[in-house]
Order: sequence, then C-alpha cells, then structure tokens
Amino acid sequence: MRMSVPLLLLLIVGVSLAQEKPTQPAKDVRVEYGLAVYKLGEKHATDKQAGEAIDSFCKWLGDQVPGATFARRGVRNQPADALKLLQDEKSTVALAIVSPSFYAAHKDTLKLKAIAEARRNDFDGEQFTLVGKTATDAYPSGKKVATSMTADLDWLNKVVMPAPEGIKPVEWVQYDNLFDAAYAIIDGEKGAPDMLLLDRVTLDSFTREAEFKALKHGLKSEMLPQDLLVELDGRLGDKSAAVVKAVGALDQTETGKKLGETLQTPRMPAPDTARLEKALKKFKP
Amino acid sequence: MTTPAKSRKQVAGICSAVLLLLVMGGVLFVACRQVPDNTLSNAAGDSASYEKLVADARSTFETTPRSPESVEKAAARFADAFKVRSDSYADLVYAARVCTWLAEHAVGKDARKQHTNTGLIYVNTALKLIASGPEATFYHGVLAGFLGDLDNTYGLDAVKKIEKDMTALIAAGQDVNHGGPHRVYGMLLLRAPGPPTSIGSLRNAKKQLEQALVVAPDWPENHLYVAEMEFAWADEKDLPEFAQQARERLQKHLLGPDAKAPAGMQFEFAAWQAKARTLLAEQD
Repeated sequence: MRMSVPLLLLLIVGVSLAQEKPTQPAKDVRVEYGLAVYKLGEKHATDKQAGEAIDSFCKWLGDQVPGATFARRGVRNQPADALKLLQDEKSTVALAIVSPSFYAAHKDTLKLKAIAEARRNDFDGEQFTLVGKTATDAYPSGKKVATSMTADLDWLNKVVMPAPEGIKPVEWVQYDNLFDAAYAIIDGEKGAPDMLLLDRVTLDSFTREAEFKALKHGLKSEMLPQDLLVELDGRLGDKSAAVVKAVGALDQTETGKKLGETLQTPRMPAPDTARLEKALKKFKP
Repeated sequence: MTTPAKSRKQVAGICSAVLLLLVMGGVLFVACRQVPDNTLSNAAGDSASYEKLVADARSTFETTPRSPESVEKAAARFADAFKVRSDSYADLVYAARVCTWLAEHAVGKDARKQHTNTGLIYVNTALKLIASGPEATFYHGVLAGFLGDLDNTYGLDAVKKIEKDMTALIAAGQDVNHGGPHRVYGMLLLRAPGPPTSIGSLRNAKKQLEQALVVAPDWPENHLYVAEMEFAWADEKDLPEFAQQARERLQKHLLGPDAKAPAGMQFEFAAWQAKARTLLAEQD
C-alpha cells in the first residue's frame, strides 16, 4: 500500500501522542448553551419540521465558538409558547432567534440583548406593504387586512401600521398562506379580505405570480427590524463576541452558505440599533 | 427501445395507484440537496436472460394481492435484469413503478429510501432514452416526492421537481395513473408551506384535486385526497358543509359497505382505507 509522507508522519505523531496520553481520557470541557427559535407567522416553525435544521445550526455554531456547544431547546411559532420556553429555568436558553415584536415585549423581563439581526433574502430591514384591488396610500380604516402575524397584534397596531388618532383601526385577519388570501380577493370569494399586508420577501414573490398583476401596491410601513439574535441574561458570558463574529460571517464558508439558505438569511450582522430603538419607542412610548 | 405509445398502453394495462405520501411541510428550514440524476449505463447484453428476468419481475408484481415481500422479489428481478441491459423505456418505467410501490410500502425507512433512490435511477435512465416520456416524467416527480418525504434535506429540490414534472404533463394533456398528475400536484399544493417558503396553496390544490376527479371519477385514491382537501377547506373557510361532504365521500368510496377495491388492488385499497380512517380521526 502506498502512503504519502505527510500521512505517514501524521500517523507516527498520532501514535506518539497516543502513547503520551494519560490513562484517563481527557474530559470535554466545552460548556453547553441552549438555543431557541421563535418565528412569528410561520406555522411550520416547529421542532418536528425545523428541528433538524436548527440542530445543524447549533452544531455549526459550536464548531465556530471555542469551548462551547449549542443545543436546541425548541422551535416555536406562538409568542406564549416561546415565552414559556425562554422562561424555563430547568433547561435554560442562552441564545435565541426571536421576532422584533417578541424582543420589544420581553426585552426587560427576560433581559434580552440583541446581538445580531437577520437579513432575510439579504434584505436590510423589514418593510410591510398593503396590497389590494385598489391603491391604498391612506390608512385603510375599518378594512379587513390579511396578515400572518395576528399572534402579535400589538406589534401590528403600534409599530407596523398604527392607526392615526381617532381613526377606526383595521381588522386584522389571520392567513397562514397570504397567496391564498390574494386568490380569495381575486376570486371575489365571500368573506375575502379587502387587502393584504405583505413583508418584503412575500411581496417579491407576488411579483412573479401572473394572477396577481391586477393587485396594486399601496401604503408602506416604516423600515423595521427583522428577526433578532438575542442573548438572554448575559448567559453567553465571554462567548458572546465569538457568536457575533460567527453569525456575521455566516456566508464566508460553504457550510455557512448552506446554513444561510436553510435559515433564510445569508448572514446575521450586528443589529441596526437606531432602527431598533425607533421601533421600540413606538411599541412602548 | 419501446415507443412511448406502446409503453403507455403497457403501463396503463397493469396500472396500480400512485402511492404518494408527501409531507412537504418539512421544506421549511431544510438544507438544499439535489434529487439525484444518476442513470444506468444502457448496456445491451444477452436478450434471452434479460427477457426471462423481466417477465418474471412483471409476473411477480402483477400477482395480487401484493405484499412488500412479493414486490421486493419483483424489484430484485428487475435489478438483476438491468445488470444485463437497461435500454428498454417500458421496462425501466415498469421497474420504477415497482420501486414507487416499495417507496411507500416497504418495511422500514431505510428500505423505502433505498427503493426510492433505485427508482430514481430507473426513471433517470428512461428519461435519457425518451426525454419527455410521460410515465417516466410522472414517476420521476413521484419518487422525488418520496425522497423529499423520507429525507427533508431533499425537500426544496423535490418540490421543484414535482412541480416541473406534473405541470409539464398537465400542460401536455397527458394522464398517468388515473388523474395522477393532477392528484400528485394537488397534494403537493395542499401540503407544502405557502410562498415565499414554498408553493403551497389550498385554492390551487382544490383546483388540481377536483380535476383529478374529473379525469378519473371512480378512482378511490382521488376521493381520499379530495376529502383531505375538503376538510382543510372547511376549516380554512369556516364552511362545515365541506367537512360533511368529505365524510360522505370517504364512506361512499372507501369505507362504506359499497366501497370496493379496484381489480387487483386489495393491498393498496386497504392502505387507502387506513389513511381514510386516520384522516377522519384527525377531525375529531
């Protein structure tokens, strides 16, 4: 059998090191950190359907942060379930991906610190657009508006599309699938919403659907934060900087790029703090 | 090489159901592996031994009621035959159909995945012989769906493959397996997440599944999946009459005393009945 010199040397060194090993195997001194995910408006964001991918992210992160391993604590799509998960003192969470609405609601009680921000489809920030049969540049007072985010009505009403003083607010209607909401409008279905509230990525895919050409774009929200990577109660300790560095450079390796596709964000740079603070002030004036 | 027309007749003559289980919700947050496109070599060897193996394989598969054990034997005969030669579109498609059966009914996930991958090799080879052969196109989409179901890392690409294959068949007016293209595409639309993550749409699923019934109104499997859609429609639109319609449909075509298995389809019919009972139990 032919063997290259470097491989041969490696084997010799390996044997040598093995001989010098103490009789007791070295203990893995890496510390485990819990990781959780909360995706607002994503009914498929569950452990069953997304757990495997989040486990891959945990493994990758553990490879990037010396002395640390990361373990999935759970994937949730309802704010109350996410809160329960992050409050669990028996299986603590140190790091979580949460919606900006969750961050705004529980920043103080859970001692959350935003350390990175998602860039879904590489968009910087989130902006919502009203779409309907007629252009709607004005606030659509009293109209039925389809959204996938009724689980966080406060965020919708205070930050995304606040009603002007003295105006009847919109009636938010939950649709897990906003394309179906659009079809209901186009088909003239009984009980169909009047319009849709679309995020940037969904709006982008709307433009590729021939049947939606008749729908017009109207009022837009301000530019808002996207999902945030948060540290809980300083639990990452001295690992925080390494985590920030790793997720900020997610797209710098092939493995990271694939993970970015999986997580629908090619990287997670530092949060836009000015944009975040502005949204927080609207949420809690 | 067999002509598409001839092979279509052969396949239709012994056609079993499409045994499709697509749980495409898993496409969210999953990595993106490509559905394999590898093929056999199309070597042309000894005809006599090949013909005997293929005849034996077909005969074994056509003996009903089928069982995972008997169909495994048919698959093994085809595997042996294709070691001799692999240049018959009709035989490759038939073997892919056998593998598709096993992708659903073989015992154990590993065995199901193995048969799925083998079936994909057969259809890829068949498509190399006849680029847009309708049966090969159909089973290619179905097997891609099974692969995505059995291994979520293939989910995103599987969705693309199923959509491409089934819409091509629908556009060309090709039917395979009793409204199969409409049924398979409809089930994908029913179970996949909505855009932008994937292509799921209850409204579009309804259109496709109802069209499957137009093409093959007596095929029980079509009624099974239309019922699943109707339960979802009742829930989404708050229209309980659709749920009632679904219950009546399942009784009439699958569970009631007058419901009968299509000829030679006892094993498959029992599997549909089991799914129908599960579907009903989920509504309670």
